[in-house]
Amino acid sequence: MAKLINLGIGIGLRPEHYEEIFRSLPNIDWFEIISENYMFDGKPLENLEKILERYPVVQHGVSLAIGSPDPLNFEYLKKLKALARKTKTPWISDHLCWGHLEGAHFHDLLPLPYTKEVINYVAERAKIVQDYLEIPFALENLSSYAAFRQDEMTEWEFYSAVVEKADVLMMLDVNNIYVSSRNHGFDPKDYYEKIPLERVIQIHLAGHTDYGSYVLDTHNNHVCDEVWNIYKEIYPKTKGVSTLLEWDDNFLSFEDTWKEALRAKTFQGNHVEIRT
Amino acid sequence: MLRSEPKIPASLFEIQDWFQSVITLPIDRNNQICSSRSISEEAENYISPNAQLSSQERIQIYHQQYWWRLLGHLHEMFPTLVRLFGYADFNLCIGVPYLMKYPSRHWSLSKLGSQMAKWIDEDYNENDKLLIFFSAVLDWAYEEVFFAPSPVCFPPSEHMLTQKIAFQSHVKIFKLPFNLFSFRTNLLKEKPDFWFENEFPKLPKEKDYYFIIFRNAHQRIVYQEVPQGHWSLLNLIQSGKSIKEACDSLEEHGGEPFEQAKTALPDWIQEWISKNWLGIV
Repeated sequence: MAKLINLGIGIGLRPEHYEEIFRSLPNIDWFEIISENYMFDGKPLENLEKILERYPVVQHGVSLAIGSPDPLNFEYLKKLKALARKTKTPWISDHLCWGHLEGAHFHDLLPLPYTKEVINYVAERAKIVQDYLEIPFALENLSSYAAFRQDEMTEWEFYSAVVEKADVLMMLDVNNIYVSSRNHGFDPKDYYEKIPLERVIQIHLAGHTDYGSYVLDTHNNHVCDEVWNIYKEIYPKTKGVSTLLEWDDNFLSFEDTWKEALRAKTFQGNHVEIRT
Repeated sequence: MLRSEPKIPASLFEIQDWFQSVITLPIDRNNQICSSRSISEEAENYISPNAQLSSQERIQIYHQQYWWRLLGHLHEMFPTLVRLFGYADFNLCIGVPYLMKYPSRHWSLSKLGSQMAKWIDEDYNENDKLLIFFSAVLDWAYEEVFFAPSPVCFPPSEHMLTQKIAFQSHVKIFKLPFNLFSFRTNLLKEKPDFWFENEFPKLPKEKDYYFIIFRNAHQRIVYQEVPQGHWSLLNLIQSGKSIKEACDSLEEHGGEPFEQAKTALPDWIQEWISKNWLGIV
């Protein structure tokens, strides 16, 4: 597996923070961008160019929808790869989901049934994406709200099998583990103890909204104690990987968002060495 | 050489086809699925219930997320329309029927509203159609100008009066039967809910209005009212004429626009160049 550096702690770059970032030039380790927001010309790309002058940037996508029935969209992948040349992202991630069918795009991270057939289908496509991008590629676990009658295995068995069969990396979203554990009634420990943590290249942290009968992955809130506790367990087992806070609604100031992200340090222990 | 793509398993396609057919069903005012289909029975076949939620309730979360996300994006793309209707009526009268007829066909959400003016032209038939139509056109123009490539410098030359030129894509010109620009500016000073209980700003409509929107040197989107002659000339250039051909055409028609162009043309050309409006074909 490629030698990849631990970038430290970052936050998701959002337009709401541009002004504060450009004014104060904060001493942040790195930013993650939503790739699709910068795959067109115009003002967003100009802002990104200013960010790239000062900060490492990692690309995270939301539109690949690797488990969709439509053929892979090479026009999209070409743009993604062109952006990667510009950002010099050390890896690219997207979600283990589906999201379009017969040309219609649903703009959501829709869940896949956990079956052997689907593992083969998704892993083959992930290999193609990895080969085409020529950059380490990681798949992220979802927050999900429904389970299928067809499921033949647990989510963690499915996730592990896909990344191992495709030989790609894991972008592990700790909040998603928690959200799904609440929605499907499993113990988060069962999840993180049974996945190949040596494949984790990056961790996502975020807040969610608890509606009582279900939990929604909203990225509009502080990271809850339960999620921090899972992070505390997982982080040392990864031997130290890049960690990122996502915040996408009910925005805080940049400074307060950064403070929330920095809380991760208190849960990391001494495991911050470069990972090989 | 890339490996060939695997074939979609039939059982996966069946689930996905059913799933999308449910989440894209219209949403009603109470955020429920609006359909005569028996979604409860259908959901039982595909989705496992849990202790808190039935199969239908679980798929309904995805249905709501689909609509809330897309309608939320339309709210951002069409701020004038949202203020004219209010959130709930916008969703019911505009957003949902629009997305039912023109669902997203692109991976980027930035294209979601590209057919809105077309849809209004085809399917919206209320008395205020003209205002609604032009509001959609203008809101969408702001989106397009925002995502237009950065302007490149147009090199002035001795041939520039006769060569084919074009607008750069961060420039849009408008002729409107009312002053939608000042109306929109005043409307956008307040949040949509404010206009639910307050009178809309005045919509001046004493004459035809000529406007240009563009990204300025600070990359801000600005608008500028221009004389009819200025707009006419730009309109002719946009249709493919050189500056000279556009001037000849104006002269042929005579009147106020030609008189304006006769005296102000050098200043206008200077302005087009300094504001990076022109590009080479």
